[in-house]
Amino acid sequence: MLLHRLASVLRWMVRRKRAEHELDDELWTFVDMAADDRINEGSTPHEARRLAVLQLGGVELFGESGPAGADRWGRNRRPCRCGGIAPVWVGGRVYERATSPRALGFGLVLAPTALAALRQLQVAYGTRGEAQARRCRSLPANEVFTQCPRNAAKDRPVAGGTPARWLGVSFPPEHGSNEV
Amino acid sequence: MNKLDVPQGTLELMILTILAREPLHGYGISQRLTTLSHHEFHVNPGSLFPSLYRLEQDGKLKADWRATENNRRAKYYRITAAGRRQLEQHRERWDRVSFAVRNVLEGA
Repeated sequence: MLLHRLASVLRWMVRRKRAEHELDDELWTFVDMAADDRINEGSTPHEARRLAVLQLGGVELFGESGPAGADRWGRNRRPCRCGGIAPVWVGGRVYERATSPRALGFGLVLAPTALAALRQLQVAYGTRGEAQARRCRSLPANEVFTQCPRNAAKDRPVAGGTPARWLGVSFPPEHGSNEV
Repeated sequence: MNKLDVPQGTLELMILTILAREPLHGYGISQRLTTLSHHEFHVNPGSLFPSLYRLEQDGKLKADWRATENNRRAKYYRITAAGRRQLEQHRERWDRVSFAVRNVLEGA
């Protein structure tokens, strides 16, 4: 039961990360296509790309949103249990589920393993980087484009925030209602 | 002139209507929406992609990655049978609402 729950949590984390990557790919495609259109209208490639990124992270967020009390994905948003506090959260969930001393001991043994696995996942998915990467990820789109190092081949910020972050959307934790 | 906000609850109706004609990627949907509304509506990606995600999760849309005409890789969405059913329901409801609102405005 306990192992099943832990495996379920880990599976969910991996699945969420994969979906977040897919969303970012999709948003970059949006930027690429918007930049193509601007180039066709006469902008230089660099200017076209800068404007396309700004368009993506622009302030004009129109009124379409999810139901009352839910985020734009239509789900009730829960606080992010990510990064360094994730093992604490996992431990807490284990504690909630398992009240017997035996299960609690089992959870305490598993916690360091979960912590190590999480670090490996963070490294594998590039969410654990140097201070600059962290700083860049928190910057708005226009500042990322001017202040962070860029990949010349793709003309994308190397350590900058993702389009999803600029838009202020995070991947929904679980599937929920579709009513709008 | 300022562009109009997409009325609450109608974005999914418009997405499903656009995709009922042909499969499109997110940027294509955004462009088509702007064109069909005679540049009155502009939908921001921050609203568009969450709606696409919801529709896909609910089985109203299917998506697959493939190359565009410009040889870019993009996620194309197409409507499913369940999506078409939802589109019919949405349209019927929208027709009733718009008919009722027009009656009120003209009768006042």
